[in-house]
Amino acid sequence: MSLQQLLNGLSLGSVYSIIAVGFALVFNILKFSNFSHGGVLTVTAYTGFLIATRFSFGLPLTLFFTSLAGGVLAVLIERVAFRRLRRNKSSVIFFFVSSITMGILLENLITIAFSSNFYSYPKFFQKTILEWKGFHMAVTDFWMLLISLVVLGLLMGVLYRTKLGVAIRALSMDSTTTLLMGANVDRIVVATFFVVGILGGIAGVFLGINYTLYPQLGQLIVKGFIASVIGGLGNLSGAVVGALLLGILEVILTGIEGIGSGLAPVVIFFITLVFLILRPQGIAGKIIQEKV
Amino acid sequence: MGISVSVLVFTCISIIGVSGVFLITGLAGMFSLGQASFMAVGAYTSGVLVVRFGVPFPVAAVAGTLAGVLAGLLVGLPTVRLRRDYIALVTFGFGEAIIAILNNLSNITGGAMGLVGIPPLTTLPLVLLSVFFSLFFVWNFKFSKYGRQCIAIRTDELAARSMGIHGDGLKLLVFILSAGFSAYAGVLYGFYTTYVDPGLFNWTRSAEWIIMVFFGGLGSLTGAVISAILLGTLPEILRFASEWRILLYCVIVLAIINFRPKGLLGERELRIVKRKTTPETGGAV
Amino acid sequence: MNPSVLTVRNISKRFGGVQAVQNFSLQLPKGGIVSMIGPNGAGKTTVFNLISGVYPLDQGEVYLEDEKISGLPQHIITRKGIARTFQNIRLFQGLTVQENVLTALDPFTPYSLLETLFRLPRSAREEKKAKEKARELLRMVGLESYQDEQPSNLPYGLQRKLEIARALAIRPKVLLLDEPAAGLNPKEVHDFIDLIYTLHEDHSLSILLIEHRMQVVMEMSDWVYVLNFGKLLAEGKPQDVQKDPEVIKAYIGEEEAC
Repeated sequence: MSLQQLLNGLSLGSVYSIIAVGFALVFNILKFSNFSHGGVLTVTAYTGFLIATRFSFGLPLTLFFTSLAGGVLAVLIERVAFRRLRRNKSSVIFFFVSSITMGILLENLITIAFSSNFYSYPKFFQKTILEWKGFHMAVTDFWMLLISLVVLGLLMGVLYRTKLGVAIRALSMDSTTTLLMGANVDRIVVATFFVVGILGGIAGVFLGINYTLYPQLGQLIVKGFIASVIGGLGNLSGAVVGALLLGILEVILTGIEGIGSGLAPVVIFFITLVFLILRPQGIAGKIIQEKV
Repeated sequence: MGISVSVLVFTCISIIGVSGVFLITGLAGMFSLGQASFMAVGAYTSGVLVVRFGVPFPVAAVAGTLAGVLAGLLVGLPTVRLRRDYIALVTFGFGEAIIAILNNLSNITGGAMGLVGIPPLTTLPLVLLSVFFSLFFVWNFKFSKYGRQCIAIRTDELAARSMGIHGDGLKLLVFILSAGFSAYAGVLYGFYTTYVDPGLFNWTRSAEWIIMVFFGGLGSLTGAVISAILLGTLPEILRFASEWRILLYCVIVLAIINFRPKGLLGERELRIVKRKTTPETGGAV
Repeated sequence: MNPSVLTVRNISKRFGGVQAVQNFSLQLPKGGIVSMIGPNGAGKTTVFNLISGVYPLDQGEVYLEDEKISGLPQHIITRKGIARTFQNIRLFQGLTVQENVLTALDPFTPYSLLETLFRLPRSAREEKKAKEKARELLRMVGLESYQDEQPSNLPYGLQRKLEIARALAIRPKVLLLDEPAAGLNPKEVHDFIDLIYTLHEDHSLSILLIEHRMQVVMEMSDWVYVLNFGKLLAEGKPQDVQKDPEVIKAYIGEEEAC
């Protein structure tokens, strides 16, 4: 594996890490795998495209608006798909099905609105490639890596230095006690979804730039899931590590002759399976043995 | 109303697939986002055997179904003891892997362009007979010790194990059976449309079947069948394009989950056929 | 020949930072009724979970008569003869009362998948037999008229009885009862004690009981184990344990802290 591949892999992985963290946050507080996040990714990707082409905004401004859009969308999703289930204390199955359904619904809304045509993001930068001592990096990749790091850093700051962050972490550890301590659980959940939506908005734009736009973009949420599994479901730093590893892995696999991007999913499937069997708690996680 | 034969055939094929999903999701509570890939296994195995190797249809059909069963065993073995969301992930991954493999083996399968030239050997009588037997089998399964233990596992796996129920064994059994149902549905499908391509068997199709089971009521086979019929024929009657159909499904499911999580019939069944046995439990309410 | 039907030897279990059970041992004599008491969180249910195989042991062994059962999968342990009820009733809500009992009989009912799918005669015959057995078990606890009800429609006391009927379906050698009288009013507790005695006599059951109600413990137990913070605090005959100063301190100490 060359250093070039490592760089590419890290940059890809950094996008995955934003997805994975968004995924892991919801898993932490609501204890289920939120597949609707894929829908958020798709919608914000297209929103970003519209904004960038209509208003000719640069990358930062586009990101600003899409993260806002993502936040709002995620809050709406919570209201429609999950609020009642929380009230009724429904079992996890229902949250899960609701999230998948929401994801499919959003994907299809986009298909109807944009048909299956492929769209491309406009060029944000004049120079397209950065060169440094023989290594190449696409400018967009560079910015994605940088912005991802900044965003993750900000997220950590929020989680560990603000009242909201404490509330979120408390809720993820023990929802009953948090409620008894007088916290407004609804508000914390909404706030978390807003944050998750922001992350989704950012990731959506990056995915749109990287992959061109198509309605099934949201299925890349699976990468977030896989990354979380490798890293340890629910464990945020684990999700980041898992995502980076996944990015690097994908770049390496795609580079190998017999595999390429065609059979890479097959290999990744087997690796995920192996992980789940041999180390289901992921790299960083612990098996949460429920006390019954 | 003018419901054509093809709508009837497709609905029946759906019902066969859905009864498999009923076993795995409705009774045993597992989420398989890869059921459609077992359908692909069935369709492609039987299709390739006939088109490329001239194998007679009945043999190919059996081979296709068995291939699905085998695939179910291979995937199910490591998967069923995982937590629910992991099962969904693994089966999703399997589905993607199958599509990737089918796309890549273009010499045999025709790749992304699909497998063409499958002879149209699926007849309406065959399909109707198949539906009858599928439902017969699943109904018997549900009202037996197998069905009961599955429901116990779905409702409270810990308590079920404490009662001596072999959770993993049953889950694997159900996984294999439902793979078989899906594969057979795939065989019928391929030999009806005379053409299949990998894109037909993606996870959204699997999700559609799960949605149908939910809509009808998790524990109700009649509900699942009714959903399959309703959600299958409605768009034909109303002339919807396929994206709108899926949109409709999603809205229905969200409504059901939020307002009537039990689905149409909950755990109840409609007693259409009176059977001569001792008083059954769980009958029509 | 081991006079104890259940022997627990030096078991320990840790959950993350919490040592839930430490070095605990107990003996359940054949045909005896033994209780475990202790303040909330003392580890009693964890002991049950360790015996029935819900969690793997960190350390120690469990023997059923002369056979080591620790380390076996949960359902195998049950089939060897250990049945249990749960502190928070865990009935199967998707099934009727009769079906709940049937599920416990199902692992033993002898007909195959093929016979099921094609509805061959043996499956119908065995189902009929199983349903008879289930009805009999419901009759034993007085629930036969409720057999087609949904468990959630039953009053609390009857749900507890259903749990017991279901546990008995396994024909256990050992019955683990986790706070079976919780939530019952005094009359129900009295009935309950009678029921347990009757079943105990009729089926030569050995019973291990977790209870908070001193009335139940005093009336029924041959021997009492007291746990606190996962460790054995005291053991002995009920009257002796009741007077033990350490035990009193453990309980009253808890009251003071509240």
